Amino acid sequence: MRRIYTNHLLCSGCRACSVACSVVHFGVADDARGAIQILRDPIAGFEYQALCRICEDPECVAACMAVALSIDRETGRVLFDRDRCIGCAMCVMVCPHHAIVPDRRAGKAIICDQCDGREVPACVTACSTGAIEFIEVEEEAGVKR
Amino acid sequence: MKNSLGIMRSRAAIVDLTDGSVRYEDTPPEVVRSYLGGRGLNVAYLHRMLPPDVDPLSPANVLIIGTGALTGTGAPNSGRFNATTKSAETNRLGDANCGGFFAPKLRYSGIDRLIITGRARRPVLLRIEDGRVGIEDARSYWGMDIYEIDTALKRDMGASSEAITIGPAGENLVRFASIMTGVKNAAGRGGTGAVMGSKNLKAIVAAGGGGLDIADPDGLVELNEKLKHYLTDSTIVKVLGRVGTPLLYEVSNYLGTIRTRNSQDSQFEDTLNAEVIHEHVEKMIACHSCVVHCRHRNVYKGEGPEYTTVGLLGANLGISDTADVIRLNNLVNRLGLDCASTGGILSWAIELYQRGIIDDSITGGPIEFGDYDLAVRLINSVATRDGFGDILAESSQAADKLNDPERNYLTAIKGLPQSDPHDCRYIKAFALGIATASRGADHLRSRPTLEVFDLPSELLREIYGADVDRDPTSYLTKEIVVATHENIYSIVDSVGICKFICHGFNSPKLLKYEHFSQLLEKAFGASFSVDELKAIARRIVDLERAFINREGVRRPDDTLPRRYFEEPLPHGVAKGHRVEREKFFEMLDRYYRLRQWDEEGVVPEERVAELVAPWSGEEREAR
Repeated sequence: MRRIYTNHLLCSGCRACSVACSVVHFGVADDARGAIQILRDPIAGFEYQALCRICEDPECVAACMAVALSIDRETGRVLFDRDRCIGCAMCVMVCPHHAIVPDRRAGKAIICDQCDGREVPACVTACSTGAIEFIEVEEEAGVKR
Repeated sequence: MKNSLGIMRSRAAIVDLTDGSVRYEDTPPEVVRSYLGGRGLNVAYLHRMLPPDVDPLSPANVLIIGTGALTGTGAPNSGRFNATTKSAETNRLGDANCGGFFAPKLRYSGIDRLIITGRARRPVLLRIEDGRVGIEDARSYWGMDIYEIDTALKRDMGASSEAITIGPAGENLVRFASIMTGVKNAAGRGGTGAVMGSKNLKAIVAAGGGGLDIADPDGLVELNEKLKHYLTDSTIVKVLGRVGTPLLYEVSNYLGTIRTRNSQDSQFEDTLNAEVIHEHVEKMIACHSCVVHCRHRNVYKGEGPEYTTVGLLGANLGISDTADVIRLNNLVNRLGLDCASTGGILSWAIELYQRGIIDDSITGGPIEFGDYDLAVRLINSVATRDGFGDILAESSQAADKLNDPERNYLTAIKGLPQSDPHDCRYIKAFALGIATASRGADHLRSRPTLEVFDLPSELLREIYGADVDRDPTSYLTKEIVVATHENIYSIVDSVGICKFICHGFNSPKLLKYEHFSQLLEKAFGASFSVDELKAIARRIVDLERAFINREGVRRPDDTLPRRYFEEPLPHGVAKGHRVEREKFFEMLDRYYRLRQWDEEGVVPEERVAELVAPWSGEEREAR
């Protein structure tokens, strides 16, 4: 199984990932509507990719009153039923990774679906520095340990 | 005309700061087809809206902030806008291209172009959200430097907002004040920041909206990925991504063409080489959607330096300490000053002092090259217009006060100090390019870097569509070289993409007309053939020329700094080279003929009528 992994040290802050995400999901270019967000501060001096880290015990799922969020037992991924989302933004507030984006126009949450159906997620195809990779979980574990 | 703009949006907000009114319009499709966006549409509006002889710092001046046709689409390096106005520095065309994150955000907020006239009674800012423009009180921000206001606006307007701002230099109407975004990106040239300051406009904030509709989402993402690979495989993109523009310093220095101590000399210290600068860099970062990431985050709380800053605040001021030059870079960015004019004007004054043309009675004390503390003092005094700084703040217009009315010691054309740290006595196409550039002595209108690459004749024929002389010191065929580069750069500026990935700027490869055509098709379903894009390019160059013709520009203005004609270069490969007056003007004549301008460099009336014709469709409809 492959997952999206990020390395903020390689991130140039360009937001091409967020744009690509919004384009393939909504047909609209708008980096504010990408499920991956680049937090950057030119004065403090950092670039950081915020996206769903696929927590083991996700707080967003527990906080969702509308039962729009659930856990895929097989993959551990957070599944999002957009139709059920009431836009209360509880998930946005509790996510420790700032990884859920409020889509204020649609009144819905935006959360990474790992680009289900695409061979490689759009954010990964857009990244020019190797800061976002789509790799086997086992491989990543091997690298890290 | 086949109407094939697809879903391409070109929405303008016209703001009158005097009466506080805002009007919205979709730019007429005929005009979009003729001028595309960015720099092209900006000059179309400026030429239409601004009568001749307006004081650039008066409420009548028009300031246009226009995003490129591809800005914000995620196309490689497509984060750019142009600020276009009548220049406070030259009293002619002021037009500056700028990266960062503001331009895409402006489009996502629902506006593609802001056209600002009038003058607010007190400091204001514009806030754009969901396609609407609000005029808000900005008194509490007035006086802040660029870092301070960037921080304050993020705090007050939301962390995801993006802004363009002016610093103290813009507020104090310094004629080479920049419009800034973030802590470093500048619409630097021509005093756009002074025009903004004259309107009492401290900042423009884009806060978000509905984004930009894309015609073929999967097709666009796929094309962007393909172009990403094509570009990042290129050697020059890799090198620029590693050390940024300072790599050009070493090239110019080796050739003996790095402007040193106000162009009195042409070689300088190795302490400003890219690899040395890199020891002071934390990380290389990017503008919006950029695949190059040539921006340095330096260790002195700032971003940069670029080659221009290294050259003009380093070698040209005789300052060699690497950290000092980077600190000067950060200082001009904080104050919102154009680094190129700052370096050019300071060095001019120092040489005049050195030669005894001015003395302590005007400078307030000795000024000399190589003095970092003095440079800091002078730069601060320019931004606040204190003492001698008040004179320097007038840029080339200080010539009389500086006792050099003929500007014999100023490296400037059409009143604009030269931005390129490269001395143009050696490469003749560079010389012609800065002489004909519509905004004054500036390399970003045409820089034909390929001249130094020693490319094979066959490749040159393919690029220029004609046989051109391979010798960079030759005067022959350079008009073809300059015009070819001017044309494609006018398009890359109009689609909102960075020149660093544009064919011809640093490489014989990278993005060409056909790539821009493909991107417009995928993004908006807009069909612009390569031939149409080339016609648009010629239109933009001609209309900019018609604009400056109307402001009085003629053949005698398309000349070079005196020194380039009279004094041979002293060092390196370029030793002994200068520009021969007669051959230069023959080259200029050939350039005019190629452009189909008259012998005075004036765009013929029939052509001007053609250039403004696209607007008449709108008038018909509006009755």
